[in-house]
Amino acid sequence: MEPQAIQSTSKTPAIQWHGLDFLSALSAYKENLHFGNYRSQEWTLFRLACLARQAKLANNFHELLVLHHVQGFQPLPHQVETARQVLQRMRGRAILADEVGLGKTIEAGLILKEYMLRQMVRKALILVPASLVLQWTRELNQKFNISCFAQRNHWSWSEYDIVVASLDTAKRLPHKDIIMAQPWDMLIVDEAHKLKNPKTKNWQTVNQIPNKFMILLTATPLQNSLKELHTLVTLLKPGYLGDPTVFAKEHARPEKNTSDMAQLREQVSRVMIRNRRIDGETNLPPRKVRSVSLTLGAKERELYDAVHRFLKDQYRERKSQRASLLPLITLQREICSSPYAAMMTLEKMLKRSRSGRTQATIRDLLALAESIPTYTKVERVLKLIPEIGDKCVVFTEYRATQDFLLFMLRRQGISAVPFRGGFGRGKKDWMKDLFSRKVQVLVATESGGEGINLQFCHHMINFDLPWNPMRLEQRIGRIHRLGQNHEVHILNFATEDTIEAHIVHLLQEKIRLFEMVIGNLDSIVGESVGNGDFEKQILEWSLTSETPEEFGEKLSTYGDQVLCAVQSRTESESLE
Amino acid sequence: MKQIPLRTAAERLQFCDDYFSSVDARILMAKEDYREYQLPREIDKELTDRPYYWLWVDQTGQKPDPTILRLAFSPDALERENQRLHRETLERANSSSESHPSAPYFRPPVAELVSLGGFRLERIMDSVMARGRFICVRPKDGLRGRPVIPWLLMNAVVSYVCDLTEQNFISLGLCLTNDQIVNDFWQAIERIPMGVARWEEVVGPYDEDAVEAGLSRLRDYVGTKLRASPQTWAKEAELRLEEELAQLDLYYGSLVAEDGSDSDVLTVEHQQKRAELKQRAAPRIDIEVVQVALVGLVEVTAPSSRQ
Repeated sequence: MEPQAIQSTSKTPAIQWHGLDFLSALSAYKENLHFGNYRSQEWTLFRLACLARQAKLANNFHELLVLHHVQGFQPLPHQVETARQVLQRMRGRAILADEVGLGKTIEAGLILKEYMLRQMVRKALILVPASLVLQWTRELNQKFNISCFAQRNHWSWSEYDIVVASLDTAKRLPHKDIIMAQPWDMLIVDEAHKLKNPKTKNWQTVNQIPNKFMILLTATPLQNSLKELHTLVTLLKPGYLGDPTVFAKEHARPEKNTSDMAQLREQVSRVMIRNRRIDGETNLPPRKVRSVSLTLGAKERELYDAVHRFLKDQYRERKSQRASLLPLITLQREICSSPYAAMMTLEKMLKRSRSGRTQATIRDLLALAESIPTYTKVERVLKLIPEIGDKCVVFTEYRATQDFLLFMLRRQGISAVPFRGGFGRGKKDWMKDLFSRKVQVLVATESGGEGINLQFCHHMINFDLPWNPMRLEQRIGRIHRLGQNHEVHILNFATEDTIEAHIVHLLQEKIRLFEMVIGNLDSIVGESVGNGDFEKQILEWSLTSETPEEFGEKLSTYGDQVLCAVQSRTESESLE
Repeated sequence: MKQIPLRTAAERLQFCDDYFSSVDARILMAKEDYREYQLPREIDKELTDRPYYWLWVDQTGQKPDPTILRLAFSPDALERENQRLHRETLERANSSSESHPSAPYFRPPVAELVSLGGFRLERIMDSVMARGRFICVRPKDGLRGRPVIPWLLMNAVVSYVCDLTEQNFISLGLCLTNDQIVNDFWQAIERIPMGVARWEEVVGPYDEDAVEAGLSRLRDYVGTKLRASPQTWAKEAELRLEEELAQLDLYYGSLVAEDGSDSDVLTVEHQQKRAELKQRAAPRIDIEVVQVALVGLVEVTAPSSRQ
């Protein structure tokens, strides 16, 4: 604050003094001096106090103080750069739109802590999906020394300064009213793509929460139309992209004017940051994908064919009665997984069935399943794991398969623990801990896949494949993510002459899904690979095709369509 | 620019050593990057977060064993000392009371890592800042007995706040006898060995009123100086704010034009957003008085030539 020259500045900002309550305290100090109650060390304390205050200075606009305050990890260059941009260029209101797995949480933590260190944020609200509340709370506490609390009841909002809660809670009464009455300095919303429609309660709630700084996190800032982007930006800076109706008219035109687009891109870049894997800095080690071809034993083959015939009959029957096809999809997928898994569903169908003929068929199938001496796939796992000789995750879709695998592994003297969605947080952590320290194999089901990070493991076996590519990517994302320093080996089991073999071919060879970056995948899932529809489609093809070749043909056509969608998406992605 | 203090482990170690010795905490163990301090009760209360425990102790007149803080200043030291503590506890449990049923379940004490922003260091800094707000000093040793000239020291932090904050540490000295004002006063006196002295001994005839008048003179001085200096950052912030306010008004204007039904709700929301925006982005200067001291300086060492 050295004045260069006396200038007649038109306007100096208002000056406020703090800490002037000195004088009464000073009198007390003087009294104490009179009584001789002073100690020689006080000069040291005074010096230390001066040092401590200077250590806490936010002494210039450009340094990130937070880098001295993180604990136990080193933020990556793109994360630091993002935090810097959000603070200095975007002034604390931004959309963080990194691809999945590049550490948006870390970026948000850096930004929050920086504002706290600069004494600009005291009270912050963090809205995340319910399943991630505890994980956010722990990360902010451990990595950033931010003492934040998971919301428990309606006192939490006012009691704590930094609160992590779910959006679904926040939008309900009585919570909503209490939240609106708090003077939040910062609002962070994870999974902000849930705020794409301004007519929804989600959007309106977030729009009404008082805030000075706002960070929105989403991996997919726009899925369908530019209007979604406009809606998100409106939360941050109302009016920044102009009048919503005018915007909609201008950008909904099919023939897009390139200069318009350039201008829009420039505007958007001032409120949104998107780091992508493709951009380099964030490169992960390569994935090595291999399919393991298996041939079913004679009995297993017999069962598979019998079930397939049964499914075809059932399909025709149910289709004519307009009954649910869901059990059929399940059965078809289970028989690909293991006979053991299929038996459960067969038994259920047996109980529900009212036709004597069907019951008889199912009984035959069950008898056949029970007579199978060894399961080819399980045997292969038992053979592969010692060959790998390292930690390995085995993914399956089914509880029954999971139980059976665990049983067989342990019988072979291979240490293994289960992991599934139904476990509580504590148990999940415990299993993960056991896996990282003592146990060689983690057998996980799909539903348990989300929310665990297993970077310390480099091998993965897909015992069976989900029929939904997005879910498959979630699986891979467990081990192939930031922090993984080794090559990742992925084995896909493909049983010859079954639907499974076709699907492995489709996902691995045709779409080359395993090489694809997640960002691209995000975008196709929304469009062409509707969630349940894809599975239904495959079942339909498999059961209506006369020959396996015909089925293969249909899948191949489908693969082409997906590839087209990806390509056109990549082209239009230059907008982002 | 001067290096910001306490950014290295060595500085933090020195800081803690100085602090604990000046509050009479005993050092029980000193190793590389590692210390064990035994806390006096008052300090214990300030550095640990357990008000109910202290309430109970005070009410029931307990005399608990003094707390021992085990502070590691580097991750290596933390690992090393935790292993040692574990080993020692195990040995003690094995040798002393083999018959004791709970012996195998003893949990060894653990050391904690002192890091910037971590709980313990924050507590120590808070304690230091609460204890070091004023002082009344004069040079020690050979200069005792010589008459001194009273100076009023004010250390303050100036925060330039808009949608980002920048802070500066300033230190001013005011000579109570001739009203001379010196910049960077702290830097000039910080290395002089000082001793606490009685009020009269330092300030002579001046009382609190004089101190108060002196402080307000210093405040006027700072205000004048700030007004005279170029505030480009503030002008830029003003411009940004105006632009954003205009966008906001445009947006809500268009909404009202669209459908007039909910216009009351919209007006409230509009006003709220305007207020938030101004609170966030309007430039202002906050000045926080951190420390005040009365410093007696022997004439030859007075840094009056710096003005």
